[in-house]
Amino acid sequence: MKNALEIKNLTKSYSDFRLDHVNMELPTGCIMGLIGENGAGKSTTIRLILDLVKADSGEIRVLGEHLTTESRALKEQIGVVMDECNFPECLKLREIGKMMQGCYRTWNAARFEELKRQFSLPEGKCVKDFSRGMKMKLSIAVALSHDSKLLILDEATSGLDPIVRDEILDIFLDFIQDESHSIFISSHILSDLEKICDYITFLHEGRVVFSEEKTELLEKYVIVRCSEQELSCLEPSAVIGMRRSSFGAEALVLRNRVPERYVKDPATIEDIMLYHVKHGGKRL
Amino acid sequence: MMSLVYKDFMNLKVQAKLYLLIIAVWTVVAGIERNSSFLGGVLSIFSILIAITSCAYDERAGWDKYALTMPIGKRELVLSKYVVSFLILGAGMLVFIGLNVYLQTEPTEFLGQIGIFVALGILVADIVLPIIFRFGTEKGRTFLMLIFLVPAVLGLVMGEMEIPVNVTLSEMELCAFMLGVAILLLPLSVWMSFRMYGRRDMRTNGSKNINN
Repeated sequence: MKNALEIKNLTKSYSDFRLDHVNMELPTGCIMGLIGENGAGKSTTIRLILDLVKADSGEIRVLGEHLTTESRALKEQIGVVMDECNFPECLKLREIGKMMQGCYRTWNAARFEELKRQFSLPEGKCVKDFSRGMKMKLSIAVALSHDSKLLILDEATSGLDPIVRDEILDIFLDFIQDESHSIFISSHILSDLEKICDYITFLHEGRVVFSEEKTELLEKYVIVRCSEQELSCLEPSAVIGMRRSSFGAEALVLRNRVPERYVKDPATIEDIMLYHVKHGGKRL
Repeated sequence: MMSLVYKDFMNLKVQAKLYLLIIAVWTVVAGIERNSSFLGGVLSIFSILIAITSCAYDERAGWDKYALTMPIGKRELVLSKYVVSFLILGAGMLVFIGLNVYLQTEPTEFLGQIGIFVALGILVADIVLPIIFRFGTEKGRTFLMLIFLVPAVLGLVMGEMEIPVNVTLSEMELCAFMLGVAILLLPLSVWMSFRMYGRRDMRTNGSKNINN
């Protein structure tokens, strides 16, 4: 299977928001990061992928198939981590394990035990007494304890301290060692995505601004620091966005359209996103 | 589906202590009064109250949204709540039988009552669960209150207006009638619940905001 996830012309309208002809492809064996500001449509996209809400139009293929809430065999192969831990609050780990055993045909109790130990999850506590980090680790442990080929993660690392986040990113990198595994992750923490992702999709106001390989993106754009006059000498179409400072101007520009004499610094994913949206970015 | 029922019982175990205490108090009161009728009514209503509580826990955790990402269908989620309600109803009726055996009541005297209380429990579930699946537990509780309020007000109004009710039923006839209605309504209720659940908004954990 070439792509773990394919989205074509996905559209969904609400009274106050529209997800507009979203397209993206996540090749099998890769990690795609979905970025965008609050309200950009990231969670809506994930809910549409999971068939929790119905699309107005467009096509979604998950692991090569059309996913519905009734696609049991397909859902065995998808591990989902939402932005909150969704286990009822009075359950304990043993009970969650036993319940999951009944829910998933491919449930691997030994793997769950191993992950519980690895994550130091407290056996005797109810879910409500877990810290946020523990809750997210629990959700991830469950997602990894069955035959998951695709992990779908919605803000799974938000609100966690850097040490826990780093631990979780390592787990994702470990998961992706198997070439048949893929990850689709939305996050506000762009530095995390920059560390692990192969592809970045940027959603802004319900539209895809770009969906590209991370290395190509980082190669494509640079930050130029110069005077406003020097900046005005550049082709306008090469400048994605700019901001003025007391020392002159700073702009995100297309690398291959900037003469050699300009001072160029590498752009981060955060720079690319901010300049596209905040600093006079052009809508693509 | 049984794993969902297991989940509900495990999740309710903290609350169970309180429920057991309330039932114990009512059982003792009924034992002292040597009248189990009121206890039977309490137990049949308890079954739906506990099912609503389990729905409320699920809502608070955003469980349904998550469960639908697992190999669980909407129908299983719906049916599991009926099963939870009826299992609790069954357990409640065992308490009722136990008390009557302790009070050495003749079985012929309380068998009709069991049927009526079972029918009452099923009837309330028939009506309330589709509403819960459509509107959530907050509104569902309001409807539950209305369900009890409407017959009371109707009875009061009919009494005030001196409307004659020329229907006399024996306990067994009432039991058969109520059970018949409850069981006939059950498939309709389940079908309604499937439809209502299908229309449920899975965008959020409870609030109507789109959380991106």
